[in-house]
Amino acid sequence: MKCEICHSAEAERAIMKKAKGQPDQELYVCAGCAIEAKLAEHDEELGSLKKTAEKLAKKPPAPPQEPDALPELVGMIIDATLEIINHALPSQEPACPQCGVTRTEYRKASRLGCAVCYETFAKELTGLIADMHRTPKHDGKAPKKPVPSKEVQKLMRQLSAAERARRMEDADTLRAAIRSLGWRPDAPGGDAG
Amino acid sequence: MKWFPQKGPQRCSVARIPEEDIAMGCRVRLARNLREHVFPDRATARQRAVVLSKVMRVIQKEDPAFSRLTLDDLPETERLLVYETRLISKELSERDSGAGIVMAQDASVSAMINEEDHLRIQGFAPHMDIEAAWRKADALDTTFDAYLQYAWTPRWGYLTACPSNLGTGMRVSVMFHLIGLRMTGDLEAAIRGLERMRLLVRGIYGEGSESSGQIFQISNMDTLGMDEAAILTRIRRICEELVRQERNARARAICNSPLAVEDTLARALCLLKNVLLLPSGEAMELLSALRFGVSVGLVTKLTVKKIDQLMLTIQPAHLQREVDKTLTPEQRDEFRAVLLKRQLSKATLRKIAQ
Repeated sequence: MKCEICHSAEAERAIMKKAKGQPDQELYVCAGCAIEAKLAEHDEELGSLKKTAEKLAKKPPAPPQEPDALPELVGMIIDATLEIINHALPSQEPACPQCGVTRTEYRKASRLGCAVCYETFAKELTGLIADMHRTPKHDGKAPKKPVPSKEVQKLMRQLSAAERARRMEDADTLRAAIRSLGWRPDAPGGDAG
Repeated sequence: MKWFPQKGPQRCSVARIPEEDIAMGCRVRLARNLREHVFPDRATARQRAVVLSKVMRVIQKEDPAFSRLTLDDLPETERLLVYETRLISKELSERDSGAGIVMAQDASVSAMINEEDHLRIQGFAPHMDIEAAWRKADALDTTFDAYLQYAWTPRWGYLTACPSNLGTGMRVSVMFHLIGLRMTGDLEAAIRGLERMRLLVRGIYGEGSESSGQIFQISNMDTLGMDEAAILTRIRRICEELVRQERNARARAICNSPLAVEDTLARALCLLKNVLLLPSGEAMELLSALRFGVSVGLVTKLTVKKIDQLMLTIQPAHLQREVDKTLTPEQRDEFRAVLLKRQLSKATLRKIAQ
């Protein structure tokens, strides 16, 4: 069964969709849309929290004739809460180290920000690409001298070091990581796999 | 050989409807990005300018005869003019900074810079010669490859801003005039069939454009998993079948409803020769009918090539270039009517022999 939100990926789980003034609706959705729905819920909660915080902040200060540390304390708490709220979501969501695109952003625009995004979001893109194309493995023209990204080059250097030091477990993990990004771990010159 | 009608001066065989009257032209587009650069949508104006300059330098060195155009310097009407000739996409024409195009002197091959991807290389060829279009695009791609480091992985091929273009990054498009299938009422079924075969059916100006004058752009949906030769073979096979179906549809329309066909052509010519205001959409529909008429020998003293030229000339930016001034929509409709009346004054109809 296809996801009832994006209609492209396979549905994996059920979520409850909440709408104001309407009964909750059960939807069968893919993993990506389930997370997105959860984030939207967070956004709503965040919005109401912010509104409360702003209302509190707008409250007139206590009269000067009654010296009290409470208003200042409340202000500090509100500021700290707002800061936590403002920084809470971005830190939960991974962003591409080169262009800063987050998963929510690329899903919304259906476009990635740079070549490194394909490594950053490799896991979830694998499913998306498999849904989009009939055969999700390249066949065809290649550049004359294909060069892996800096991240893959770094992994390849780490692999060489691990092999020299005979850290076999580390080497296996690194080989798997390089393979997952589509390159051959035994081709340190950056040759295509 | 199937003939229709059986006798008369304008008898016409299915095979005599030239393939080029149905397949109007083709294009092969290759999407490419540079490895270390942020893709255009996400890039800053400065980052886009760096990519633009890199690409321009390659062309300047490799083939100085190529035209190099930065769209930032062009006024909106000029951008629209280039868009109407189908050399650039709507998206590139609307890019606020860093957009450019490099183009061979005969315009048969070009590259859009900083469109959705850093490079959109395009080879053009007449009718259905998709192999020729591919050879041109491939050659320019190979030139760039010698200087620029493309974003590419063995698993997913050329990396593109939208994963739907991954792999070969190749989109093969053929422009079809499918008026026969429209006349017989088979067009919707044909489009559904093409879509089931994972082909994209779009309007005259590609992605996001509406069909105009029964002209459709047919292109491959899958870019990953098949090599370039396999994509070309598959598209050729499907396009040849589409040409066959359109030929048969035109023949059926004339055999089964000769009066309706004559009426369509008479109305088109009458309107084109008499109206005072003519919006571009309506003009395209009327010219489309005449194009069909010329193709099957029912409209004379006119050629398909001339109609194709008129279909471009009547677009808003081209009309304004003709008079060298900005026109209001109503002035454009008036000028379009006058221009077509003048250009089609000699065209005449022939009756279908019964």
